[in-house]
Amino acid sequence: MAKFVIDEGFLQQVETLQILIKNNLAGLFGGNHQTKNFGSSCEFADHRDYIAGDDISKIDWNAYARFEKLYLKLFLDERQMHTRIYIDASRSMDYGKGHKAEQALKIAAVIAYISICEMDKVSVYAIHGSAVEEVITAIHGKDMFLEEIGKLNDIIFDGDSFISEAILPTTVGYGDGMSAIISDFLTDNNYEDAIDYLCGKRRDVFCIQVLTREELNPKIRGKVHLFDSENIQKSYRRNVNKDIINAYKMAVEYATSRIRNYCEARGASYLLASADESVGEIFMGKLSDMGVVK
Amino acid sequence: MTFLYPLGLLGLIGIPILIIIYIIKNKYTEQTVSSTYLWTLSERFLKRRNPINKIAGLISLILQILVVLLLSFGIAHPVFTLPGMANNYCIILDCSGSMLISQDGTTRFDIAKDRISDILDEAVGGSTFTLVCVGESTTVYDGTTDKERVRSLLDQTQPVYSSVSLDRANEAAQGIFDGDSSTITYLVTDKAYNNISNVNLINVSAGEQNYALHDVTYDVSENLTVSGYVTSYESDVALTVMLTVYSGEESVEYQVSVAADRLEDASFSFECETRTFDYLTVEILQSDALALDNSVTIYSVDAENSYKALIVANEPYFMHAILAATNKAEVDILSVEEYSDIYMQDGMAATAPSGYGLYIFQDFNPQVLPSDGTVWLFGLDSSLSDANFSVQGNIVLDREDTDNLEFSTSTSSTVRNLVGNLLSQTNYPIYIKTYIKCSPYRAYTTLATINNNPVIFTTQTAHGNREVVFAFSLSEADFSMSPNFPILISNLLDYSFPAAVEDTLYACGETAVINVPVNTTSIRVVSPSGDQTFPDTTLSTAEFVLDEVGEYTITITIGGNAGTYRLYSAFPVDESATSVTSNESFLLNGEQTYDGSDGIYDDLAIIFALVAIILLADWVVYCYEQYQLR
Repeated sequence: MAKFVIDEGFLQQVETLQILIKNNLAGLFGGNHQTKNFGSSCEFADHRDYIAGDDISKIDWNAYARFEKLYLKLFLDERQMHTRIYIDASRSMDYGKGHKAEQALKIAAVIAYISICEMDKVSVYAIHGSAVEEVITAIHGKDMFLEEIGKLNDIIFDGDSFISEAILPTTVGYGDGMSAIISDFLTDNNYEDAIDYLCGKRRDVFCIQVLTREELNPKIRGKVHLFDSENIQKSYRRNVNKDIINAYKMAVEYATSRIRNYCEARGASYLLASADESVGEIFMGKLSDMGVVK
Repeated sequence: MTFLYPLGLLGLIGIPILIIIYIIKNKYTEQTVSSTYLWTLSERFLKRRNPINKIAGLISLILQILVVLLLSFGIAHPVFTLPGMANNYCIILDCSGSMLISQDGTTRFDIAKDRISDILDEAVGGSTFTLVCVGESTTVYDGTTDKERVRSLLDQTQPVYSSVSLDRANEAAQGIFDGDSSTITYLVTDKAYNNISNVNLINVSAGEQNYALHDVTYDVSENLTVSGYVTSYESDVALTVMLTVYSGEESVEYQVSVAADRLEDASFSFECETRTFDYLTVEILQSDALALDNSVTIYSVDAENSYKALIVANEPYFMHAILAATNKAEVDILSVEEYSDIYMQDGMAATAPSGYGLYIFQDFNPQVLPSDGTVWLFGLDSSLSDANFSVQGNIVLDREDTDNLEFSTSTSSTVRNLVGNLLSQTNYPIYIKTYIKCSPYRAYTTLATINNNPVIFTTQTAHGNREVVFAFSLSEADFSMSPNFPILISNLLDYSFPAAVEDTLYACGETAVINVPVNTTSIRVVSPSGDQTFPDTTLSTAEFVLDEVGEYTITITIGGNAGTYRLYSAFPVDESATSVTSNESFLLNGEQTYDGSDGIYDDLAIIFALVAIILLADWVVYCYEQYQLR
């Protein structure tokens, strides 16, 4: 079972970050995300002529004194988003010395905290097989975050995971924020449908692929018989030599570019994170550069 | 091919075992990874595999089988027979002094040993080697097939400092050749031979630059004159010869330049201002291939044979003056009273002095004679128990008995040596007023008589020392005024002090002769290298062979007193020549045949070298497979 520890100092740093939502926001009122629509926030947007029936409390009396014509002050609207985080809880995420699961939990926690700081709601789901298990459900506010975030440690990484089959039947919301999928995506199983489905729901989709350094640049040489941690029936028996290593690296490039290209084609964000990379580097560096957070 | 240890072939059982292990052993390492997705996916990108890689795994097995095979053979120790390829070798090594000539720090002898070692290396196993070393004596080491034993013998062999004769070696080689006419004979020397037969000559001379001193002599008839010759054996050179004369604590140096033409004896001479010396050294200042023949040391015979004498007399003037004039002895004098106070105290037994080579008692009876030196007795008036003669009273002669002393005309060598050179009595008559009639107990030699009574004679004391008796007092005769007196005294000194070392310069290889003094307890000879020998002292002369170059020290102990003498053994001039063509011949009579015997080859080095190479190759293959070092 993967364990992670929240670094208070780091959380203070990421508190200033804000997730940039690309799609028009259709969340509930009371959030901190400005929409393109006029609303009731304190942020002044424009004037328009008064039409009968408008709320007279919004008439700009100063403008009337100057122009002797009634104008209405318009303000931007601010909405509360619902960030949904899906964590691949398959066995491959927590096998060996790679600490992929730990890294996944850290990333999920930080995304959740940033969202909480934006006064958004946050839900965290674990994908087990073809099902999505709710780990944290629609929390908002830092108090609830601190109460609930410990549940991430209860996630058990075991078995296989079918991302599309798990997400498609669930309620994912519509246009009300970000959906982050954290997985190693080392599977032939269909995950593209899930991305399409979420994009179709006007969600901001963010795919985070976590791989270990050994998976990116393996040190295995010689005659080996490799067994898959998720399915013992799957194995690979070869005399690993330079040719195979070259082929492996091409396979890594293929697998990462496949999901990257798929995400780019649908306006989704994609990040390849190494399991031993620091979370600060990921959020302050890579995600900031990508424009996912600011 | 045979095997020394056939049981070693049991190791071949390891080959099938190795194959079985290779088949049974799963050489694939099982490992569980988080996902095999990428590995399986990589198959899509894998280029077509080299078919050689498929058999790469077998290469390791083949190499390991070869290792087992070779190790089994190595343990079994195969011996290959090489028909007719072994020979019988007879190697004659010249160990003469000239083999010490060196160039660039390597002597000819070292080169000779290297050449012989090459012969050993090239010889097929099973060949027989007979080593004949020609030094002071010729040593024949019987035939052996063990090359290491021959090398060991070579290491133990050293050249001598003298000339050698190859006659005995020729005889030994002829004997071996007669026994097996296919014997290959090598003569390893630094001399060229014009006349050789059935011998392979290996000449190790290389025309080294060498100079030599020889025939150095000195003369002190007037002032000291030192002369000798230098020879340059390879080129015309100008040499500087230095003479250092040592006398006591002082030394004086002289130098002279000598133009030495090649192979020509160039003479040199030094005129010195002194007449006496302890020893002198002559040396060539230029360095060359052989330092041993560049210096010669000569010890003064007189200095080496000096003695101490004690005169006990109340009127010692005549004797002291004559002894001092001969310069052969340091003289101490005691008066009769002084002697009596020391050696003849009242109430105590009389004793005798010691530590002198000569004791002269003049008109005095010492009661006890010394035991460690020659004794001269003048005018002894009573018998002494250890003097070996009795005194029978004084006889007073008439004045008319002029020229009453008659010297012996005996032809014995002792008499001739002692009185043979005296001047004619006709011209120099001697008158003796009173003489003492003596009767010697043992064998004695009469030198002079009066009325047929011996008045000057030699005998031995009871201690075995030489004894000279003058049966009259010098004050009762005019003999001391006669010119024959110093002559006789000088002769008696030579008789009393026989020079232990009559020659101080020898050539190495010669036999030195020492005159053994009477009552000599021991003679110890110390060579330049520190080796000690103890020649026989029972004969009148002791001999020993000089086998080193340099200073020999001879210590002669008589009773409790020891005297030290030195002599120098010079490098023999015959061995100084760098390029010599011997006029002698080295012939092996008979017809050389070439019938070799069966040789053997049993060197395991190649097998173990192959094992090492294969193991290295196996390791490379292993790394190739495991770590892809390509």
